[in-house]
Parts: sequence; structure tokens; C-alpha cells
Amino acid sequence: MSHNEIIELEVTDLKTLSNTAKRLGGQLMLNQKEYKWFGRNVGDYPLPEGIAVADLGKCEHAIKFPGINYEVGVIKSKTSKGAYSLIWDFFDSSLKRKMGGSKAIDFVQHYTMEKASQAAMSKGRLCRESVIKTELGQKRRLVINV
Amino acid sequence: MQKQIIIEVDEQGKIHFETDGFVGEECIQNDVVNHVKEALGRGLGPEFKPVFYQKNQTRTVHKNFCG
Repeated sequence: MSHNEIIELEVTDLKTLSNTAKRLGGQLMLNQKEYKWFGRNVGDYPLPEGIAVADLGKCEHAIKFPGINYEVGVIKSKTSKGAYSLIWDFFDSSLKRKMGGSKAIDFVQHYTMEKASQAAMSKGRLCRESVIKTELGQKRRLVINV
Repeated sequence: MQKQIIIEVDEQGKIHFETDGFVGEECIQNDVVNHVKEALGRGLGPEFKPVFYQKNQTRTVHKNFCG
């Protein structure tokens, strides 16, 4: 069983990606050309748009988390030149939990916070990040003093 | 009033970008606002609060130069 999906996130900066992985206790493995997944497509889940069976498991870089078997692949974006997309097999429940569900919401939230705070700090601005619990889960807020 | 940028990522991963303390077009001309917005990229089109449409408070003095 495999559930390969592309995360709705356009990655334009590997430093931000590396910091995001660290925030979640993981590590960006530069130039790791394969990411771990189920390893065989059994056709029980549609392939992400623009991805062929032969592409599965191949990447430019990968993100790994200690104690979790499957990994996240960093692949060249099919839509934006110079950008990356993230592909993963969320059938691994540990990885799914770590990333924040099948849409990897925790990862997307951390990446956005990281990206915005880096941009603000490059202009010498102070930031304050907080987590807000809601009925649907949690959201993250960054306040930048201009 | 402290000028701030407030960014929230909600439970669905959607980004909400807001500025506070700016008046009129100040916010779209601000270097830090534009820099952060550009860094976040995807689909952050302008969504203006009512305060955007307020003019900066300037005092106009009319003088009669023509006698």
C-alpha cells in the first residue's frame, strides 16, 4: 500500500527547508537521490499530477526523521522553474503524524513561519511566533514589528 | 501605533497576511512588508482593510496669493 502525494508548498529556499526539518526534529539530507516509501506502486491511490510510477522514490534531496522509516522527497517543481516540491508516501502513520496529517499542515505552518521570519530578520526586524489552539486544531501566528 | 505585519497559517495551511498600524498606501509602499510578502510568494494578492482607503492626515492651508 502506498499513498504518494505532493505537499501543497512551493519550496524556493533549501536553507528554510533545512530549518523547517530541524524544527520538527528532522534533517534535510542534501543530494540524497532516493526517499524511502512503500517501494511498490500497487495502484490503490492515484498518482500525483505530473508524476509517473518510475518517478516514485527518486528525488534531489530528502528529509528524514529519526525513528521514522519513510522519508520526504524533495523534487524539482513541475510548475515553477528553480523551485522544489515535496513528495511523500503518507501511508507511514508515524511520518503522517510528524508532518501534521495527510496535507502535512504542521510542516507547511513551520515552513511559512520560518520563511517569513527569515525575511523579516534580514531587514533587522523582530518577530514573535505563537501557536493558537482552535476547534479544528491549531494555527500559527507570526507578528513582525515594522 | 506600532506598525506590524501579522501572518497566520490556519488549520488548512492557508496563509493570512495582514498589516496593522499603517494608513492609506503606506503598507503597499513599505519595504519590509513587500520583502516579507515576496518571500512568502504564492497567491498573496492585496486584500485591503477600510483603513487603506483613508488618506494620510495632512493639513492643507489655503492662502490667498492673489490679493
